[in-house]
Amino acid sequence: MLAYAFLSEGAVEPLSGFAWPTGKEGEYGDWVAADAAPPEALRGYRARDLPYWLEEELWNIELDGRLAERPHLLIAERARLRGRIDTWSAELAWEFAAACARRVAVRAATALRTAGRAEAAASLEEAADLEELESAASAAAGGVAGTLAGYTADVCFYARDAGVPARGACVAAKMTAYALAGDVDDIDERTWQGAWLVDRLGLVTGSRPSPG
Amino acid sequence: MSTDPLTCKELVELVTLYFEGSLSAEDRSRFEEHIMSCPPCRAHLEQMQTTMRLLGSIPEEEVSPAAEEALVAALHGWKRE
Repeated sequence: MLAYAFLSEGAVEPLSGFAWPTGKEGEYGDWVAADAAPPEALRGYRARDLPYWLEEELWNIELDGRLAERPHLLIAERARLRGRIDTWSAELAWEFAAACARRVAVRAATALRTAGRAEAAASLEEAADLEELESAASAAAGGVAGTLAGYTADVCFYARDAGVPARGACVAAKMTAYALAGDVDDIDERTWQGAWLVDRLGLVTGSRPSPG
Repeated sequence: MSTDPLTCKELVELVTLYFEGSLSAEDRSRFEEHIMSCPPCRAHLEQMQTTMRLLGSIPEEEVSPAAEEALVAALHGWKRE
């Protein structure tokens, strides 16, 4: 089946350090069997599970043989890379992190406005990027009405603190799910995140065997 | 183990089992999910990997019998306390 793989720079599997063989100029990489790679390095993700594994490079991967289902991932008996998805970039990772943070900011602004703090609410809504949003949210935090603003500031801070954009995006996705639902696995929030990524990455999940 | 996400403290306690491949499939996945979205834990894991690699490269011959004996004696003494 076709799936997706998030890899570190140079097509390296981030947890095991396994360096995937990549094809030359549009060709597929060589097949790798399980006995030639670290345990569980031959893994792929469905589109809906992408927000859990964000990393610097996104690749199409073909999984073959018996597939083992794990929470939010698939392990294959053999696999090969079928090409990098260039729409995933540092810029898009920051955009995704900001989109996540804004989900919390919208709720924070509503709480602030209900409490009569319209100016603070507006400053959250008008923030242009993560940095501005963090600043506005920090200023609005405090008191019961400012609790979600505090969460917004936390999402922005820890995303930016991660340094590498993709890791910051992964942090933002997790913290947003927790801030809005108290559950890092919240289905609604993770579904929204997956749909955002599919849309902005231009992934055509309908024509693929089953990554969606 | 529950199906709740791991805390950082739990992850640190499970690092050895992770390296040994002794975690259940579900716990391994939860461990890895945490690593991907927690830069400090990721740094900890990478430091552990580096430490294990470096320790694994030290040949046994570099520890003299006297030093080994002294180390074993010290460990025995520590256990009795």
